[in-house]
Amino acid sequence: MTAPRDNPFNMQRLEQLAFEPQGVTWSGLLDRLDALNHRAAIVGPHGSGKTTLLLQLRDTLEQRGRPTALLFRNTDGGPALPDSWRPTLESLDPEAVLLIDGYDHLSWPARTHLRKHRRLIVTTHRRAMLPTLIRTRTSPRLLHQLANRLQTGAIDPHHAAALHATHGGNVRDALRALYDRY
Amino acid sequence: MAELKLEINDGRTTFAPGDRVEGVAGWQLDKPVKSAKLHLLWSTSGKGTEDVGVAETVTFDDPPQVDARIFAFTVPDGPYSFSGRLISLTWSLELTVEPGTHVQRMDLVVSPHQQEVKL
Repeated sequence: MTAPRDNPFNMQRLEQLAFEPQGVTWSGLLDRLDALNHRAAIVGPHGSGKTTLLLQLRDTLEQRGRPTALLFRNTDGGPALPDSWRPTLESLDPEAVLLIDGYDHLSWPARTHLRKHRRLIVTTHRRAMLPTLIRTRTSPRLLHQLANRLQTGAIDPHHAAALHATHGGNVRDALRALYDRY
Repeated sequence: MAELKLEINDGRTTFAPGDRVEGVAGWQLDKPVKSAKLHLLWSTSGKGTEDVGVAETVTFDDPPQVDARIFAFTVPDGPYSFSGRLISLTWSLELTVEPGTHVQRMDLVVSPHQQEVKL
């Protein structure tokens, strides 16, 4: 049995996987983000790489000298903004890019309040009242590619197709399931 | 460019609770150093999300761009290093130098039996 720290599909290794743009180049994505004045939504289903892309955009923006603030929400809440967000929002540089993961878990008043910020990038499962930067999607081919990046020869294309279907296209869950093979 | 270095006296990497971890932490950056810190910490890895506990931190005062400092920690009573089916718990020394995200890490085993506990 492989020790969990050495398992090629442990959570730490999954989190280090880079986002793989499907049907668009990384530079094309950044050009579109610039054209949208850093005001955009990343739209896609569970396990399709929305958060991974958001984190990579945060790093890229920081490297370009643009300040950022990142806030997470993964459960539905009340009508107000989460109290834990207030210090970040109250001290936010007006030129900073505000990144919100789980935008559609927020109430309508909270989303309306956040949209007042000039530069806002969010992840959401459905269209938001923001221009769509990209619709993230998955495929058996993507799953095959990512799995074999973590462990050469981990799965073949047929297994990837079956695993992709079993997990309803959720690539994150499909990769996590491979943990038990090691 | 940044170069970070961690060395433990005698090259030892296995310790029992109460032992001293002593060595040298060094760094070389091409810009002024804002902070240099050394942490003795444990972290989990495996099927679930990572958990981290910092046992002790040393902050090196007024760090110049190039330096090497002596450090010493006392290993706490626990938790022991272990591996099961779902989780490994690993102890580490972690040197972090800012600006930037320069990190040097060295894994240790903390156990009264000279090896990690197998569950």
